[in-house]
Amino acid sequence: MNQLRTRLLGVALTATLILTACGAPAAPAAAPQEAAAPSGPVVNRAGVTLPADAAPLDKQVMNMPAQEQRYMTWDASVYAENVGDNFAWADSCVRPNKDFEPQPNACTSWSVSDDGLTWTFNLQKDKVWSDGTPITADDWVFTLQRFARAEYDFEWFYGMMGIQNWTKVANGEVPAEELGVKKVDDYTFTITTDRPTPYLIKIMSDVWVAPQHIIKDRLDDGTWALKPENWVFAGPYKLEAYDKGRQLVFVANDKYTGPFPPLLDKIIYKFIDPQVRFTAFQNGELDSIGGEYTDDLPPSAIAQVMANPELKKELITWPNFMTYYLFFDTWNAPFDNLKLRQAFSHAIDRDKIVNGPLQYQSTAAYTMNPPGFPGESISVLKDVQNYDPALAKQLMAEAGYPDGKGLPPLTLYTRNAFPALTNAAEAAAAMLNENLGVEVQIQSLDYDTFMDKLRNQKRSGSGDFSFALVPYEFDFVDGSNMLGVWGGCEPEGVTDRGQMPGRHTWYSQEFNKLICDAGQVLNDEAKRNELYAAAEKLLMSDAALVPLYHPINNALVSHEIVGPMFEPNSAGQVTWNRVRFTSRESEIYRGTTPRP
Amino acid sequence: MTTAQLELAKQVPTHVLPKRSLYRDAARRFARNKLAVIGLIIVIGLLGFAIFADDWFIAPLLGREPQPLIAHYNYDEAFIGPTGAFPNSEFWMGADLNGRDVYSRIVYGARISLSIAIMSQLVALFIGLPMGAIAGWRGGKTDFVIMRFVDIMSALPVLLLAFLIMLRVGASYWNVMLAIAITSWIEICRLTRGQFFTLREKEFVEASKSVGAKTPRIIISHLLPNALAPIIVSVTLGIPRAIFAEAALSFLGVGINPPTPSWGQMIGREGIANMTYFWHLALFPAVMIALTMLGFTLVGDGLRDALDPKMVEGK
Amino acid sequence: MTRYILTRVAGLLFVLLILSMITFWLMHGVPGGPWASGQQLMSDQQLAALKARYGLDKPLWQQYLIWLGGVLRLDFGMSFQHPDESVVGLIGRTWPVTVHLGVMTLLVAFGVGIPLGIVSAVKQNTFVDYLATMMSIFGFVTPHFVWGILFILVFALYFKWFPTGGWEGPLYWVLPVVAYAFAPVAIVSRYTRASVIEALRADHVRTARAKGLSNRSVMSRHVLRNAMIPLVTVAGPLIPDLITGSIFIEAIFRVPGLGSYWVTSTFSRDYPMIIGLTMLWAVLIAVTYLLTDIAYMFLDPRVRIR
Repeated sequence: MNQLRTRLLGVALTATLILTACGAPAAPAAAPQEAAAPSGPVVNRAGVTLPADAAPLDKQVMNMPAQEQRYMTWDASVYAENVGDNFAWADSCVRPNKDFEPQPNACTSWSVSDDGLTWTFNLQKDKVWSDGTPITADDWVFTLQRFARAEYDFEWFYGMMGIQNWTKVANGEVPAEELGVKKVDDYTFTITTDRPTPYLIKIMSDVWVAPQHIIKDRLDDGTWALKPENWVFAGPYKLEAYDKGRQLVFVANDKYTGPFPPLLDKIIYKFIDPQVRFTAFQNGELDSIGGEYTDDLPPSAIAQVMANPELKKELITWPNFMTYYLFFDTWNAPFDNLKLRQAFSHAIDRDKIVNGPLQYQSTAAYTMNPPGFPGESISVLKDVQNYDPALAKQLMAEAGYPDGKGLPPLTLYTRNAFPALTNAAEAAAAMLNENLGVEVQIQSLDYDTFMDKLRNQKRSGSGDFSFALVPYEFDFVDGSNMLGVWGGCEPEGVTDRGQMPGRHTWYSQEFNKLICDAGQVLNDEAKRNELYAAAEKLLMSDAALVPLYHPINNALVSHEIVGPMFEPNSAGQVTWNRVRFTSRESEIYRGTTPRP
Repeated sequence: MTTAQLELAKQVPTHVLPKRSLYRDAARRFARNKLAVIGLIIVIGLLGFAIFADDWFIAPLLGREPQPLIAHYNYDEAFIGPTGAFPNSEFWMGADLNGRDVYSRIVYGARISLSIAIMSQLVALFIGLPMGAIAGWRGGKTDFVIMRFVDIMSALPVLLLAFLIMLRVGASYWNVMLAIAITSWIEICRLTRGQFFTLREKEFVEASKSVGAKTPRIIISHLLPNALAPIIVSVTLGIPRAIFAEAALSFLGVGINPPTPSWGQMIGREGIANMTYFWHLALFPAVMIALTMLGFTLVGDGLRDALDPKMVEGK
Repeated sequence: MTRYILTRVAGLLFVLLILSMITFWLMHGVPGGPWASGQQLMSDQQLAALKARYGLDKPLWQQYLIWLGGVLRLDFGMSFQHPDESVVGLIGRTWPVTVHLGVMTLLVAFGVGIPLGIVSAVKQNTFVDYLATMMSIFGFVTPHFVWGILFILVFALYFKWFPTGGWEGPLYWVLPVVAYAFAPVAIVSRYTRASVIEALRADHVRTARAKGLSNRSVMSRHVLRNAMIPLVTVAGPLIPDLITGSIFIEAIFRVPGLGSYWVTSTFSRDYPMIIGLTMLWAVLIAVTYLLTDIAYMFLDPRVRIR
């Protein structure tokens, strides 16, 4: 043992001597010692110089939690892809800034024709993949063609752009080359749509380019990114290692040449169960937790944070464009009865939920569109479904169920319910019981089972899914988005309401017309929003849904992490999250002084 | 003995005598066992919680809905206390995140948790005991067939299959109870079979046979009381295991549906997630489960000691 | 003996076949599919394309035969939730860790449980017995996931003696094993106690004592041997249980083992994995029971297999 150690030491010494002897002769002999203060600016491995208050390079590592999923990239699957921070290592055409306005990214400029049907995008010319291959218009055309596949779980989203032949390509009726996306030259491509889609540019912030030279013609292969030999990246970071079951390690991409260069040197995503993330954060094993789609911060964690001034300083809060609402099966009894639905809508005191089980995590919702979302008219609509138990009771009697008599016990289904959500459901159920005499049991279903039931209900009208609680989160910031859950432009020649747009069993031709018309108004945001407001009024008056709350996101970010990310937007919000808002990774680094 | 006495003795069926004195002696021995009595008191207390949570037995007579009796409020009355309030004089066990009285929910929860646990074990006993007895007694082909069936049943990964079944048929009180029963009977069957295997060879069986006692009589009056001891332990340990199984199923979202409270559900849903701050949400249901376990185990042990016919008085 | 084992193996294969059919039927009866659903409803074409991709558009019996054909070639298919790994590969990667955890837990369970039970039985109704009983009940009563979280809070966060999770070295093993072993220790000690007490009262033990044999010799030759029989029955199911892992312990302590796949496979409708896990479990259980019965034969020479 000792012999081995001495020998190793000898080798080490010799090696050091040789190396220093061969070192740069002109430079002064100061080999960097840990004891000395950081002498120059910190430069990460991508050659980016960090701001003056940055911590030394070996500290520019950030640990974040993630959930291990099936696929690696957005083009394979959106709902089952590993690590949400896609935007760290993929690259999009445009990126929204803090105020949700699209900014040039890989697409340096764009223009739209006068009839609103053709968009032209110009690409950054010196962009390359991390293996050196240039990123050209071919890749972008290929990417959109790749998205137009029926089995791609986000196909419906990109379909909203209304690109020519999209549905036909997705269904396999015509080859992908017929898609209305065409290359003009190596750095220009066009998109042609069937109808004017003013919000197309917003959807382009979610188009992440996929490498054609790697995927080639294996269009339905989602596993390409799981093999290390296929790892090529266009964004500020690239994947260094995938430790199955444990973590993903990203490092700064030295081949990145875009407008959002990486600051952090390394980002590690650890697969940690949500239940213990708060503990891991307190232990220093994670630098940030919380945000969207997570149950990292249950009410007890929030309560602890609120009670602890140190932790409270690290809390970032921002509202999410998301609505949790109760919906009904309006095509079958008993909820085909308008008065019954209206009775329900007046019987729930949202404030109790928002100040009770979901304290600090929600705001009361009276409309589908959340506050600040384009097209919302909350100031006008919030009284349509106000809390009025007397009115509710009266409506109940008018509906034929005085004091709840005659109504069978109901089951309220919830989807993938984390505990706080079940509490909200129970609160709603308790109020329905108290104010209306209705008996409600809560049943939690997993995501797939719930969506399967929803789908069957819509397509085949089966009536056993009559009452449920579900959220919808925005996909892009435009008035057509949230309301699109309830309807849209009606397809030609379709009469079966089970095939109408919208995911619920509610149908209104007038609503669909309003939404469709609004979608085609060009260059007049005010007029569009007027139409959306009218549509929403219809929706709320018909009590198609009873919105309960809009979630507030809470995230804890270590106070050592600083950067432009933490400057609030024009609404005063700092939106730290995983959903496509800002180029987060390019705006954070580890500093030497904690955040205020 | 006089002729009259002899005649009398002949009329008393012989298999009655040992049985009657065995159980009467057992009761006496049980009563003398301090721990067992404590356990019995706990069990009776818990059952009292379950039965008298509200006045369901009087309410129909008075023509109204049952009102809480031992409980302070109805289990689904929300927002009567501050969210997540810690235990105080008004809310003995605090309030949960919906402002409901935890104490009341615990009391009502006794009803659900206990009934599921006890019923599931009884059903398991009902199925497992006869099957194990027959398999152990007869051996050979009968044993082989029964045991292969048991093999199939026990080869089903319990949680996984209960889960799949629940996903398909939906979570409900009866489904949960049956799912737990189905997973419990196998062990009782195996245990019984094992016991019968061993006991079959014991001397008193040979003795009984030589006297001419018939098979059922041998099984019932001789084998069963002796085989019962580990089976009783198994059933008593099975009750809290059933409660735990129900908690696990609730944890995974396929247990008792809220707002109906069950201790397992209270731990599994609100309790665990909020354990680091709202400790009372998990603590009290956990304590109740502990108490139940304690009670039933002490009773089970007491029963085992009491029913053991070889036990010497005043050991 | 060999004939007996062969008969049992044949029986096992039969059981596996029936079991696979039941599982196949059950899991395909659950609504939903292995694709990840989005917020919006899928179009009919999308659903059809997805079903075709996973081979789910064929009739059920056909899917089953295809699977069976693969199994005969020891190919259990590719996992749906990890599309680049085969079921065998996935299990091969994660199971050893779980076995490791399980074996350690078993050692603790028997190593602590048996002595505890014997001591309790020998010193029945004394303070030692009460203490041991209370401790084991206490451990048994609380669900192990509660222990797990409690341990992390106290020993990892507060005292900082142990890490909060992971599986990198011996220090990482302590908390999960202890949390997981509470209940098995209790079970083993309770059954040991019960059966040792039984055995202590047996006639042949009184005879042995009357003959003047030393206490130790009585214990080892007569009492313990017979006491182990019901224990073997109870230990039987414990072993496959522990070896296939606890989803809760593995999730809470971030053990990269097989346990978490039980639930994730069900939620993500990873059919090949579900059946693969079920078969694995079944084989483990059956083998354990076979070994249990063989152990019976050795322990109790009076047991004859007719």
